[in-house]
Amino acid sequence: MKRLLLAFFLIIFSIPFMVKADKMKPRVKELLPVLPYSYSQVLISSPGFKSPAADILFINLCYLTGNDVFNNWKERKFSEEEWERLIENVRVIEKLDPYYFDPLYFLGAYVPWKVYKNRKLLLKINSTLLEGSRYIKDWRLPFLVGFNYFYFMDNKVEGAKYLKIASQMKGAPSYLKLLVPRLYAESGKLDIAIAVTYEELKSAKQESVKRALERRLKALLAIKELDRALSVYRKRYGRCPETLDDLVRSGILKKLPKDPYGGKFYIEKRKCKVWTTSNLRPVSTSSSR
Amino acid sequence: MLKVESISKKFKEKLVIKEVTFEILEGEIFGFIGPNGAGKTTTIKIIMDFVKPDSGRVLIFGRPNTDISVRRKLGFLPERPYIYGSITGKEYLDFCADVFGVPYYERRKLFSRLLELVDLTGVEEQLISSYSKGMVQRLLFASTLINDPDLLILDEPMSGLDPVGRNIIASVMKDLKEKGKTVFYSSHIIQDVERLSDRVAVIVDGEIKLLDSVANIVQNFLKGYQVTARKVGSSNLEVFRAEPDELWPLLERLKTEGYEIISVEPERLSLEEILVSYIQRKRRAG
Amino acid sequence: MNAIPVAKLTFKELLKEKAFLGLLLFEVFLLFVSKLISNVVAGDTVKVAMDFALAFFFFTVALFSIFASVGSTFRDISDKVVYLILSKPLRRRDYVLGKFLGVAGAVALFTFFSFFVVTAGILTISSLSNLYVPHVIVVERVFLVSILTCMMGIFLSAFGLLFAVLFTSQILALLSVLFLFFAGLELSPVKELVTSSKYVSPINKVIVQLAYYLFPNFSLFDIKDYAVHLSLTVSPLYFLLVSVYFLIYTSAVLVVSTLLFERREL
Repeated sequence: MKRLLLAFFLIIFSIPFMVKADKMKPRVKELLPVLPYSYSQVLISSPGFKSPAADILFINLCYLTGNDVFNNWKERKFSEEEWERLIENVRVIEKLDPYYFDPLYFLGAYVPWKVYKNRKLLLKINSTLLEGSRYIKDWRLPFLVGFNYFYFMDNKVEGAKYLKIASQMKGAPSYLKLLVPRLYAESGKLDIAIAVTYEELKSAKQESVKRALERRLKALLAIKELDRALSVYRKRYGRCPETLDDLVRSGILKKLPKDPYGGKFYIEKRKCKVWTTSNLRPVSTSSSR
Repeated sequence: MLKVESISKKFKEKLVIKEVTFEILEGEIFGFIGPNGAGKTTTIKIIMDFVKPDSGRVLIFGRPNTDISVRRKLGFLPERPYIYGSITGKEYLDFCADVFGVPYYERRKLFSRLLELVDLTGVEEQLISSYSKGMVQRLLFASTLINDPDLLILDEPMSGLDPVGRNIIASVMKDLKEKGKTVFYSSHIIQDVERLSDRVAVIVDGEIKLLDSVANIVQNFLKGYQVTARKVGSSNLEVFRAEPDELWPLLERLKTEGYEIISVEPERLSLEEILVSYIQRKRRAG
Repeated sequence: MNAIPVAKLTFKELLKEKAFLGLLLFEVFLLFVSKLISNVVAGDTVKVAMDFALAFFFFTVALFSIFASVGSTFRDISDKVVYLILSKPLRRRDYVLGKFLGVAGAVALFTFFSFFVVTAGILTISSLSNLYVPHVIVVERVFLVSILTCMMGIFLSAFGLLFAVLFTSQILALLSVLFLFFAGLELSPVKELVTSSKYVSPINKVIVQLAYYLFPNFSLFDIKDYAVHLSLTVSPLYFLLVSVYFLIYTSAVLVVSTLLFERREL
């Protein structure tokens, strides 16, 4: 017992030396803290521990990102190369454990905000998310893809396409269904918007969603009618009308349709397209934004 | 009972058993002696078919030793036997009983009889790791008797035992002989062999050097007699020596001279002395 | 069936070995480790804890099987227990078969206990962690994983027996089985990587393919992901095929072991 105690104290006594020495140990300075991992290396070096290896990679990734977020490396932030490595690492994680959702969510929801200037990386993120959605049936993955297209790449058509996929999946919130036609309409693809709305209307079960979709359809059809009239006008006069009232005056339209959202239709001069002040949202709420 | 016919065995080009031949008859205790490394254990391993001989064969009960049916009536105890410490004595006995198909209702009586024989009553429920070495050896010795064997083969049954343990084993062996069983055992403790055996075989350097009954061997190595006598009326004892063939003339002479014979003791080499001198002679010659 | 008494003896011996309880306690310790690791991860902590707990479970069973089979057989041979056993009317193949059955029984019981330990562990971990989206644990799936893990253990112990009979050094036998186990786990991924790679020469591809077909494939028994991800499905046919593979290959290994043991000088 005495000897055990002695041994214990000896070990305790040795600790300061170890700590001091450890601080003085020559170390190669890591230039980029985010290391690139290769799928085959991780796979071969972790027999039977494939999923835990994925977990550890993700923990490492969260740790590094956390340092970046909270400015723990005071003087610097992740470089673009590091972000690219990070995206690659998520791809490795997903190859190791294709059913792991959290890394994908992290990739889709957080990383784009950091790399939105680099289109190549955004596309890479999206393709990773889409690969993941082959295994994980979660509406958030196509939603994130659509959001990236829509928000960061200003590609409303692709955005609407993936949002539509997301809106049809289990667990998707009902507002997604309304968002999709609007995106199409905003992007000028009116026919798609109307078709999508029709489709949604057919499959909608909730009464409130149904009503909202009906209103949306009405508005879209009105825009469509105006658009058609606009193109007739352009063919006839070779120019864009100043106001919508010109359409009635020239006899192409009998009267102007009303916006069911309470806004006013107007001509976007630049594109010579019809749009509404309501932005396809009930006016009371849209005005507050 | 057991017939060993000119077996030979090589280990890495070294001949360790050379044409060993002997036969054990029914109802005898046969001692197998020799110094360490002489080939006793190897011979026993060949008899038990743990090791194949390069030539020769072994017959047990008239059948080859590779036939496992001969083992139904055979008991064997290896040198310094060991069994797992993590089981109890009873569990090991149960295993033996399982192998021989002893029905469950007979086991209690059988086990207690065997344990009593080797003075281990009351420890059978304890883990073997709590036994002393001698106790383990006695338990395993008892377990070889579970099938009431006609032939018992024991490799150094006495070594590693205290005198009490040795006595127990010796007396069990004598009992078995009285029941008409045959015992073949090896030993390097010659006193025990002398005390117990009917016949002995001596193996040195893988060869049988001597095979005879204990009585004959000792007779052959008789040095002479010591006769103690005293004159009638005197209180002084006198001791006389006689060569082996001069005993009768000496006794005649003493009788005529008016002596009273107190005792006649043969003066002989013990088996040990015989063997030691024998082995030394061989070594010197070799 | 002369192998049964040997099987019973081996089984009893192994249950009371320190390795049995020791590895079970180790299992509990590893559950704590899993919990600790899962604490540092963002998101679904239960998923991570289960990943680790089940991987540890798989390896503890493998370790127990290796130690039980190799250790027990070597103890028998070096401590001369085998003389006691073989002096009885038992064939050598009865001994090998009995040894295998005994070890298999012990492995099965060990897996069974471990299953309870691990299940209790992951259920506790799950109840301790407050997840926004709770991770559902299906105990039946963990049980199916345990059954395959148990098969893996028994399969491995057949190899342990083989190497224990083949080699005269215990360390060598232990290392060989460990090597074989890891090789058997790696073969599928290696084959997948090698055959899809452009940089591997055709000869090496053939060698890897051959190894893939001939080596025991331990990764077949590893379906941990099935318990972790509820969206994964495994057809009953898979279990059937794996069982048949297990039975055929194990019999082959046992046949070789008996052959070797019958030739061996003790």
